[in-house]
Amino acid sequence: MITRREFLQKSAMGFGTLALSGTMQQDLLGSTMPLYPKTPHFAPKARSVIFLYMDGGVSQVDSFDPKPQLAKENGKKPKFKVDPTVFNNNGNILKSPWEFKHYGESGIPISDLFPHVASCADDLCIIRSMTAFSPNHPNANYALHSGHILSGRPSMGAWASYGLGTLSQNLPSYVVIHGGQVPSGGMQCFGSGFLPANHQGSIFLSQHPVLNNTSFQESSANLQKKKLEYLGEMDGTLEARLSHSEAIESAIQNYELAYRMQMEVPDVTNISNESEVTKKLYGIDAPYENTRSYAAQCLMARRLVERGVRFVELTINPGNGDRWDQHSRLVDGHQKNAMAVDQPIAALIKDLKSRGLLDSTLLVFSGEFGRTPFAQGTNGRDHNPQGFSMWMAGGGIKGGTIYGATDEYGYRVVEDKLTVHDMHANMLHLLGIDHTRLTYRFSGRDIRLTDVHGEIIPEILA
Amino acid sequence: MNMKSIFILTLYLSFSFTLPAQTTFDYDTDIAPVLEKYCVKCHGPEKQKSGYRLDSYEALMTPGESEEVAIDAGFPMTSPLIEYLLLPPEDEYAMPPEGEDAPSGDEILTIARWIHGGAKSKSAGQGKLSLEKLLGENAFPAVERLRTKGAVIDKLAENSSNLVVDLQRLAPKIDASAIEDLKSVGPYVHEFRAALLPSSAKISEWIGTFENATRFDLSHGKFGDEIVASLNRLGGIMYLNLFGTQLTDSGLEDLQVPKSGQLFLGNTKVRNAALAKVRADKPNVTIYGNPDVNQTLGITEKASRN
Repeated sequence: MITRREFLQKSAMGFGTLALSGTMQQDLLGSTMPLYPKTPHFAPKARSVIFLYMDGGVSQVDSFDPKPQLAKENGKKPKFKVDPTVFNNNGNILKSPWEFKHYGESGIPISDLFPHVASCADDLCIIRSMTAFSPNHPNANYALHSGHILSGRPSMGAWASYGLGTLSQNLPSYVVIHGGQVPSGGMQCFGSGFLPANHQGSIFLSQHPVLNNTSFQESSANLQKKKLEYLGEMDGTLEARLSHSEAIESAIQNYELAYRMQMEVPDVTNISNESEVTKKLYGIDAPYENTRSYAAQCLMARRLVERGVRFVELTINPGNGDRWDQHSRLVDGHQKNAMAVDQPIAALIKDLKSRGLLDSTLLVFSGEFGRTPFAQGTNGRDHNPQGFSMWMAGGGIKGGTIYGATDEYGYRVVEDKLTVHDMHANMLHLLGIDHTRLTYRFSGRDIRLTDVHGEIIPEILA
Repeated sequence: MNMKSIFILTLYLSFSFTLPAQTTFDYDTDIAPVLEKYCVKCHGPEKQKSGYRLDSYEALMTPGESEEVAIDAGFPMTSPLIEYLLLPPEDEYAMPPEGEDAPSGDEILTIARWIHGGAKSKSAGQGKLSLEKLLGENAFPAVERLRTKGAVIDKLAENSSNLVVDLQRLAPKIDASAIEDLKSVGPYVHEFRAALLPSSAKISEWIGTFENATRFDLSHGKFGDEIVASLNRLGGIMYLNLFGTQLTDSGLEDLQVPKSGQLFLGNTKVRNAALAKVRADKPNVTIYGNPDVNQTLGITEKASRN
């Protein structure tokens, strides 16, 4: 017999076979709940994160970083030094086709691409000095998610899960609600890398069936339970014979979680019982179908966070022509991408706020890089890793603020430069985790999400 | 410390006869209430003037913008807090500022003697204890039983002696024995999350044990005005979530908490007029109703015209 404390310590380290003892946590399978919440390093501001991943790279000068200088020099050859870009088909200065207006008491300028998000200006902390580690999609995506430009490292959601577990033992701690657009670099952006596999992002779809195999195939629930117990016993025997068996532990735990998810997932992802007003707020009935689909994703994100899921990430819908990657036809592509996400994101902020959840939920809106202030060809913009905008809102963030700055063209950061390490450090900080202490030993090193970097930025914290 | 302050302090030390002959003082029982009364309004969760807070022992012992710790344990005469308290009201650095309620001589003397005795707090340092040691053999088994039933209970942070109790899985099927166990951990709880409590939980009979909690999430609970009287006894509430409960205008009228902080009243029976009134009456409380869907529709319409 093990004591409660031993159990918690061991389960925190992931001894999956303990699950088979069935002595603790009277759940369906008597599971040990490997994702049981862990004590934060310090009092958390946010309990959950919703990461609004703007795949492809939103143009900062067309959204959250107005640059009147571009209008003055529109069509002229850039006076500044232009670094080689991905396509290196760099044209003249291209002014923003969208107008900026000042919103809220804070007077934050936001372009006409985001009229709904603009109505939440006083909740946003806009960071205009974000930078990326790579001008290429896959590498920038890996870095945005894992702090490293190569694939295979754990995603930030997996780190949050590893650091804190989750409040809902019937749901994964890291859920990706997939709009359908697979990021460049692949779904491994959401992987657990060298962390135990039970921390990896679970992919839910935005429409039914959200997840395959969530209904029983056996004639009775009891029969399924017996099968799983037998499977667990065999896995446990195998695990006992092997000295290093983290993969088997995770497999056992994932089987058990999947079993519990059968009960919870159909309910948590069912948005049909939401009130008509709520559906309207999110745009479930919007004329544009991609607004409808992103609305469903945002609504589902709220329902997951309500149940204590630690980290929810939303990918975008592929039906907008292209991701936010307008190498040409900027107006059409950005307009469609913005129309899909704008109302649902604003609704998410307003709905969370009304339900008392915004101050414990951190929202992060970011692409993997920004776009050039000069044209690619005549009407597109190429990738720009040297300065772009992202924003955060909610749990512990000082709303109505702007942090950092780019030069007068919106090309390079000139003030308070941030890297993905800084973004990750602040996200973990708000969750109550000291990013320098959250480590996992792999290949002989204690590895962090933030490597040996990452600064906490007091100016963006409430 | 200027000579005038020393003079005034000496006066107090010599002539104050009203103070009970108490020789040892503790932060929680003797000091925190005084600071709460006169200081926390401007140096607490709402405002942090000069970057300084006095709403917890740890905060009091942490410097603000001046980078000077306000307490020099053992030495009241060199503790900036005492100096600020003793400055004449018209002095620029006098605290509380001129015109605000100021602590009495006895109250200042209590602080001075507490500092002289080492500025101790019995509860500080408790945060380092494990949950088991912190709660002791009476309350800890209750936590274990509640966890078995699906409650998530943990310390707020590693070095905290406050608990967070999350009943999301237990609340809808809570029973009498779980309620008994909740009562025994109640005093340790800082944040209580119990959405979807049924009316059979009879929350007003036991919520009073959560006397030290500051955050209450009672959203979607199957109750209404009948819990207001018991909530009113919990003066420390800073966050009260009654979203989706049956609260009515008259319940809201009687509700006295939170005195400052956040109050959530969406999807209740409270009408807009009552909401507007309470917003006007309670400037220190941010009151949240339902999201304004008409604003959203208006934005969409305007955008589609452009």
